[in-house]
Amino acid sequence: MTVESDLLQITLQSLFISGSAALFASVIGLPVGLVLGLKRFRGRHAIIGVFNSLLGIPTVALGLLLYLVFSNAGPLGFLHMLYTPIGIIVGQTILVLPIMISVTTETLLGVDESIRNLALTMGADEQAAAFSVVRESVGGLLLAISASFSRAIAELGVALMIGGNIRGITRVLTTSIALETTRGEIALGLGLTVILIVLILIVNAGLNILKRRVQWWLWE
Amino acid sequence: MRRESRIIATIAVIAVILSGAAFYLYLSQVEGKETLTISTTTSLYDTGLLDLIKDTYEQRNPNVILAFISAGTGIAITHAKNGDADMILVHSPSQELAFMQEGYGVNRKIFAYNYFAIVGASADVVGINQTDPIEALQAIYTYGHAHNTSLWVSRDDLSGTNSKEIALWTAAGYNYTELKDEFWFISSGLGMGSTLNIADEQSLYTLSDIGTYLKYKADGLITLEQLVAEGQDLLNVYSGIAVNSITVTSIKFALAMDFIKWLVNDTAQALIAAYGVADYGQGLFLPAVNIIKDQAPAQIFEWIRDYSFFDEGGQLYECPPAWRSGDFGLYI
Amino acid sequence: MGIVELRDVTVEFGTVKALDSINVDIHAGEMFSVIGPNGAGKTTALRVIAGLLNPSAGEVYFHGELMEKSNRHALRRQAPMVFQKPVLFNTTLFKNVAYGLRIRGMAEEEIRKRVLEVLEMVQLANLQDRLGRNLSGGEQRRATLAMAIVLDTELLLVDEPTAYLDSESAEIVESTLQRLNSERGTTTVMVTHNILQAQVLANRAAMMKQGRIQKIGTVSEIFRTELDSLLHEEFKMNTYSGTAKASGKMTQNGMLVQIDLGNGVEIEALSKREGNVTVMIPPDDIIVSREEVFTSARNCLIGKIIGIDERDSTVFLTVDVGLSMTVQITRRSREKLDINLKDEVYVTFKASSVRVF
Repeated sequence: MTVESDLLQITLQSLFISGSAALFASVIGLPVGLVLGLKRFRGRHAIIGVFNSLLGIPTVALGLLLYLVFSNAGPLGFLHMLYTPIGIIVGQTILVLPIMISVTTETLLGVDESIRNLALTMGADEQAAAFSVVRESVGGLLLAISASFSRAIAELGVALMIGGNIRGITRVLTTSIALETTRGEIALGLGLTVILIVLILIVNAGLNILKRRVQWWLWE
Repeated sequence: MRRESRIIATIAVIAVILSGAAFYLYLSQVEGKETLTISTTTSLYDTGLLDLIKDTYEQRNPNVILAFISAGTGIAITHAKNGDADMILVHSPSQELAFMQEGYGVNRKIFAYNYFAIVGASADVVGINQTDPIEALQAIYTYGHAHNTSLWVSRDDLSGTNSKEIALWTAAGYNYTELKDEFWFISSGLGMGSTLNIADEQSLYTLSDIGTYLKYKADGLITLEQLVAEGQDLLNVYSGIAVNSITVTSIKFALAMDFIKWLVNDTAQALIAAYGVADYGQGLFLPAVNIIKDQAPAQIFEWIRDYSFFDEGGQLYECPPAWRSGDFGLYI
Repeated sequence: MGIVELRDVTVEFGTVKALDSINVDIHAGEMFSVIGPNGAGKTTALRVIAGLLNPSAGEVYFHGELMEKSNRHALRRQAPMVFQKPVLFNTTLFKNVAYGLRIRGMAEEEIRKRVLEVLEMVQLANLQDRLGRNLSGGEQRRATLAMAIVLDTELLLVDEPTAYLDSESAEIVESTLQRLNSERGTTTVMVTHNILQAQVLANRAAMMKQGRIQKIGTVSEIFRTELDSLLHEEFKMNTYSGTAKASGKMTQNGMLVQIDLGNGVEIEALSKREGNVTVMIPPDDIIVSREEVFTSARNCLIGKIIGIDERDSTVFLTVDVGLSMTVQITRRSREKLDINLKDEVYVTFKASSVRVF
């Protein structure tokens, strides 16, 4: 393999793995966040607190825990997820799920009362009022997705410990940067860093454009 | 409305295509192939040797993927014990012995060697240039004690290099654990490259594997000099060990043995001998298989034997018969 | 029978009673004003009527029908509330105003017609495509009023319609409310702490304090007999008589007059009146400072502190500026300014803060 095709493959692999992680985290996290942000029930604030405190979980700590779980000697060893892209996707999904849930919840809580009351007094039923709150929160929900993706693609611990940085299979941008740096290939590491940052910028810019579209579309 | 839908659809299509391409690339890599997972010491991987070996081996065996997990010798052995690797490539005879004694490793085969080097700033304040490694460490200890200055940086990460360092300090008459409390003794906890960078920045001495050192030196990342190099005490021997399929049933034993067999054949040995010569003026690794087979050159063979052979019934073996499994024609 | 009846309504937030056994009847077609100091429970009462807040005890009747969980949504639709802090959806002004009608499933054509008509009424028709968040504060308030009145309900609930508004917007809001009441017969419940506004706009009023209704009746009943004492005891309103004469000066808000209050005190006010006038200056419209402040405010007098009256978080200062003038400040600003008896201070207030009758 040439360096160029390696770079392309690594970049695509990063996008695929972290994109999938952000997608799965959205599929799980958005509904959970919606429930936590919109429904009032006993123990809700305790649950919100738990997710908030999980926001800062160190990636290496999670990587180590998941290694022990996914190892052939561990409880989920039979799934053979260690050193596979699927394993990294699962790990990164778990890593960014608290971000997804917390940002969603906080956004909804932030716009909740006044918008909900406005919708209600304008004649909306509870369901339509909840929809109004969600519609006002579109920016925050997309922020949750972009923050999740950014954290996933920029993290090293899980990708390294669950993926093993195997060339062509589980090598992603961050593990490549770490490897090339230890190899003394500083320039290459720097190039990979630029790719990583540009990717994050592009995705965030894309979501920003999408935000306006979605908001516009929701009012049609 | 139509324009907005089109933009959203375009973004979705691009996302799907990208994911699909990545997934397809992954599948095409993996599909119908077997993966041999090899936990390996960083010095073999980070120098790039294993990338070359991977490409060559996979070309000859298109149905096999070599998945190298680069870690220190300690972690490599842990991976193997957990059944997360099918074989290991390491360089720490004492740890290898324990690994095999515990019943986890079989069919050990030494495939390469080189020398560690004590490196330091060209000023060489202690004056260890050209001395014997044991004398050099003693001089560093004495100088460190007499002067209020940082002098030595240790990786302190239970890697093969670190084990070698511990053995050297022990041979010089010091207790490594106690040394770590000395003010002139820095513990980096980092890999070889980073530790070399620290030594370079702060003009410290350190023990380095020759491969990483030569690469960093040739790339102009460090200006450190090899002050004590070669000699029996600095010998560094790399061996491959298959995980014992009786102890850890999930591993791919046949595949591991096939790779070990290939690694010790003449093609691979020539590959190892040639690696780095063009870039660094000297090979990073020296082939060991023929030296052991021919027991020549005699001095090198004796060094390797004394350093890295294991005893069974009063005789020294590269891999004692008790820990051999199956006949792959590896031993004479 | 009233259009709305509150029977022994109590609202508790934790241990605090925001409303304590309130009984009110709102008559059809009237403009009813709820007045009282901050924290009296005025807004809470309005939210109960709007169906946005469940009373802890007591009943709310709409045309004799008890408000319950099952009919709350339906009854809510008959009593839209305009909040004190304007909140708009993040979309255009037009879509904001159309929201309630769309939710009611009205035909798009009819919606368009009614929205434009209402926007005309609050003088925002030219801004219909602007995003809500890009409107000024006063425009936003008029927009929220439009959102409610476009629904053309029998009852309208308005919380502090003109608080912190520029005089142009305040005038539009007040005249809109008056027009609705007189032309459409919209029953309006308006919460205000501005006693003059209540006096001008409302037919009946309730005076609230600490979650209870102190007094309820027609405006003339409440204000004529007790206006003075209310003004002085509850609001500490500064009331003076003086002689006004035109100054010939104009500001962007209108004509200025020069008013001689006697004892050498002259102030400027926004008015067209001349001759003998009554002047009121709300204590919370006056700023106290150690140094002379240079602002657009027209009136700055120097005086001596002759009285300090601390009540919870607010402090009433009596300042001798030639006349005795009461100033309301917060406890914090008193501490910050370190104001004590006999201190010399400056009092500053805008010409537009001076009410001339």
